[in-house]
Amino acid sequence: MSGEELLAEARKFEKNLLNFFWRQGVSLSEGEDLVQETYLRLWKYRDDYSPEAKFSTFLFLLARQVRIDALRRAVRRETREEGWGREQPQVQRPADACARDDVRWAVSQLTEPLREVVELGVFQDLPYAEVAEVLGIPVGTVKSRMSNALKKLKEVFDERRS
Amino acid sequence: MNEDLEKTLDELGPAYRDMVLEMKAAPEVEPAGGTLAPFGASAHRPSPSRVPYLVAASLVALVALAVVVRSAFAPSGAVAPAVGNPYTLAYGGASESAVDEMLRTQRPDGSWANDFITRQNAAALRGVASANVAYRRAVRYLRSKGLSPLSPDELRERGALAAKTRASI
Repeated sequence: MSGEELLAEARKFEKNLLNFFWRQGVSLSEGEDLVQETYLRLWKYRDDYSPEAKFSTFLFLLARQVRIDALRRAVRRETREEGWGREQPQVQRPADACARDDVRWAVSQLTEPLREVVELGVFQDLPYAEVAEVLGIPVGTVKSRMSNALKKLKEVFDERRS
Repeated sequence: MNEDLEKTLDELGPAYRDMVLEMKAAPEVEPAGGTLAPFGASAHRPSPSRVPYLVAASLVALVALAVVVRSAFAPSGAVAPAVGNPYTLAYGGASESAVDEMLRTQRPDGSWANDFITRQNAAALRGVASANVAYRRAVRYLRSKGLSPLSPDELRERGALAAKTRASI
């Protein structure tokens, strides 16, 4: 698959990618930047893609790395700006019961490892084997994280409803 | 929903299945149209809202080009002498700056970046009084390689091609 073909394929995942970043607490505009960065990274590593591998796995592998790099940059920036009273933006608990923000807020209550599993396994609908490949963990760990994440999410939703 | 998730939900119970279905059904954010085009061919496709502006800009460019071409080949002496040089078309009519640029970039041996450019620039400098020395140096260089400056027709063709390329951008 040529670089252009890979990019064309990636365009089909544009909404998935944007939501992948957005649900992890990134603002919409920053999410758009990260999607763009994912495209750039795809172009950079286009020769590493093997047609036998599933494209979505490869793409989310890159997207995850883009997200991790963005987090690292944010941490470095935060460290630099320490003492200036700036804080890492948090996902605000929605005042109204808007399902979209509600789900995002609930997901943000999970720890990073659980959140990643939910994002990939539930929202992106990747099989556990693919999730394991993207995250670089065994399939058994994906299963247990998924169970724990769903239990935690249920608690969060139940608490919110009560 | 994939099989793996189905299995997990079977183990956890129906309440979890409802929760997951509800989460998946929640509306998602939409990409802003046109702002996320990756580089490559598709990135240069203008959004529909920009098409009228691009058409207008192209028309203005065509009219400007027509004026320049007409002035360049006009028989009257109303136009500046240097504008009559077809090569100036490649520089959008800025003949003096074109000559200056050529003088500035000419190598000590009389050549420019490659032989074609040297042939082209030598032809363009032919008859330009202020560039007489540069012209002779260029011709000397070309002769040493068995070449000659572009003919006026070749030069005109080249200028038209450059103008066409610019107009299409």
